[in-house]
Parts: sequence; C-alpha cells; structure tokens
Amino acid sequence: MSKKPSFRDLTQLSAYLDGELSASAQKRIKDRLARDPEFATALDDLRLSRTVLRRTPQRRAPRNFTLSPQMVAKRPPMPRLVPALNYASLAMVLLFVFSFLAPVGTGGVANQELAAAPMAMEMEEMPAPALAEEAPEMAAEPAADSAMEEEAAPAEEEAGLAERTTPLPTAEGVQAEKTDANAAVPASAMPEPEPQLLLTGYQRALVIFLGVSVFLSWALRRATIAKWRKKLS
Amino acid sequence: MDESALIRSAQKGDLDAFNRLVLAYQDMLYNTAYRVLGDPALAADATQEAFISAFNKLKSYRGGSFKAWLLRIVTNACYDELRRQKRRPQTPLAPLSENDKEMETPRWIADPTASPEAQLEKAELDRAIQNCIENLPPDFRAVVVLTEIQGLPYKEAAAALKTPLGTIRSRLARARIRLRDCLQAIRELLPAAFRLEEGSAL
Repeated sequence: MSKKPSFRDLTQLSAYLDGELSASAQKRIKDRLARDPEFATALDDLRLSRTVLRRTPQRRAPRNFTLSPQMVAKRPPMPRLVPALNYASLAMVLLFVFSFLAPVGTGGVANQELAAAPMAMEMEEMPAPALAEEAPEMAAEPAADSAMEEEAAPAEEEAGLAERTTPLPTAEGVQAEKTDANAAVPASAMPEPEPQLLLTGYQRALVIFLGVSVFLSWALRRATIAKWRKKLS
Repeated sequence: MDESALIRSAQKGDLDAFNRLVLAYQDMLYNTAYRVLGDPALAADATQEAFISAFNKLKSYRGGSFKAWLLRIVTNACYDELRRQKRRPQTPLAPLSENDKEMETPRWIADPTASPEAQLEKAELDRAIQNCIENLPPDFRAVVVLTEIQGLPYKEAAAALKTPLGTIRSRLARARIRLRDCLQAIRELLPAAFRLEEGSAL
C-alpha cells in the first residue's frame, strides 16, 4: 500500500541520497522504494534539487583577498622599554600615594598638620610657670600701650585664645590675663598659615621620575607608530 | 609546500604562507558568501573579513578540515552581514547599469570564452538558482550552500555551523523540497539543457 511520505520519510530519503544513512537504514529505504512508487517519486524530486544545486556555476573571486600587514596588524610591535616604563610609572604612582599614608618618615599628612597649627602646639606644650616667667618681661612694656591694646583686642580673639591656651592657676589669674593679652597681639598680627601640601624630597623625586617615565613612554610609543606607518606606506 | 606546512607557518605569523592559503581558498569562500548573501559586493566584504578573522584566529585552529574551518568563519561573517542588513535599507541584488537599471546579464558572471547564448543560459541558471536559494531562511541557506555547493559531508557541515547532525539532515531535506517547488515554478526560465536533464531525472 502506498501513502504520501511524511517529513521524517523525506529526511531519511534526503540522507539516503547523500549516502549518510547506516547500512540497516539504507536497506529499509531500498525495500520501501521497491514497493512504494510515491516514495520513489519523492526521492526523484530530492535528487532533482540536488542536481540543480550541484550544477550551480562557481564564481571566481572578483579580486584577490590576500592580506597586507596593515590589514592584520592592529598595532605595531612596541619596544620592550615601553611596557617597562609603563610598569615603572604605575609603581611610582602607587609609591606616591602610599607615601601620604606612611606613618613615619615620608608622611606628607604629618607635615601638613604641623604647618597648620604650629602656634597652638607651642602654646599647648608650654608649661604655666614658663608663662609666668615671661610675664615680667611683658610687663616692662609701657602701661599705656598695654591698656590700649587690651581695649583694642577684640572679644572674639580673647575667647578664641582662651580656648586654645591652657587654663592657668587662679592665684596668677590677673597676671595671666595680662600675659594673654600681650601674647594675643603678635598672634593676631601674624597671618593665619595657609594649609598647603608640603612634599618631602622623596615625594618630589617620585613626581619627577614619574613625569620623566610617562614622557619617555609616550615619546617612544609615538616614534614607533610613526616608523611603523612609514614602513607600511 | 603542503597545506599543513603552510598552516603551521601561518600560525607562527608568516603572512606570505597564509596568503598562499588565501589564494587557494578565495574562490570557495567568495562563492559561499555570494550564495548566502546574494550580493557580490557584500560577498567580497564578507570574504575579506573572513580571511582577516581566520588569520587572527589561526592559533585556535587545532587540526581537522581546514576547509570546514574556513567555511565556518565565512558563514559567521555572512550571518553578521545579514544581521547588519536587517538594520539598514535593502540594496539591489544585481548590479545596476549606468542608467540605474538592473543588468540582464551582469558582466561579473560573463565567461568571455563562451558563446553569447551559452553566457545567457549560464546567467539565467545562475539567477534562477540564486533566487531560489535566497527564498530559503538563512539557516537553511547555509546548510544548502555548505553541503550541496561546497560538497561538505554532513558531519563537517554540522561542525562548521555548530549545529547537530540531525538538524543538518532535516534542514537539508526541507531546503531540497522548497527548492524543488521553487525550480518548478520558474521552469520556463531555465535553460534548455537544464530542462532536458530535469526531464531525465524525473
């Protein structure tokens, strides 16, 4: 009995046509082809398609597709010094950053703090008796000046100084007040030190070497690319 | 120098060795790209891209059929091109003449040694087959081109397309059925020689 081949049958037939079936599957197909005319017609249809496709004219390439060095080279080979300089630059940047975090020796942060509050630290560290010893010398200055300065000194500064200076014993309170007033004059007259980044010699050297390294790497890379382009053209 | 020696040299960066392989395979790759894409200019671009890509990936080639390996690369280049085409307006499949009319017998398939009639027949056959191939979905097209036109065995086609063997089998069967229908529809356009052969096949 003949029936229309299913898609599975056609797949099998197509593979049979190409000799891509196992021996047992080929035998099954052959048996069915012998007794099923529709199956045989389907095979002829597939064979026709295959024949047409295999007769397709082969085109010649319109040009040669050979590659030039420029087509395949994404970048020119760099001298070994370039990556070495790049790594050195990276190391110097890291050392520079770590130098600010280092607790001793090279710490830029410590320098900054010292520069920002030298007066306050001096006054904090100065013991009260020492202040008392200095007081007579201060008192030697003309009384009128002292009085005028006392009036002129703004209350805010007095308050600020009172906060910064160590409280003195009550027995020497008056004298201390005079001393504070006298001390306030030079302190207020001096400009507040601007917070600035002070680099140690080590850090300066790092910055200089970093600059030189980056520049050398850039110059070498540029020269190599220029030479490579000239060679290709 | 044999093919494997050329491949080894090319793997070490010898561009001259690779270019000898290019000359040996460029027609095959261009044909494949043309049959899948249907446009000579796009096919040339895909072929060039495939060779550049092949040179760059050559170190990853671990033996086996070099032809199948190259065909996989060019098929991927064609798929990339088809994806790009989806995102931009369609271009005509046949070259245009100076009057912007599609040329009946494009000079790029003309064989100067054949008679005008033979050239015409060849061009007609080429166009008829190409139209039918282009009517297939891209995945089917690639299977047909690799197995029928380039003659790869199923196993190599499966490796080239990274597709299971069973899928290759079923896609090829479907493609053959569709092509058969398509060729029947344009039977009158086919050259006499082909019609005779078709009759004998039936």
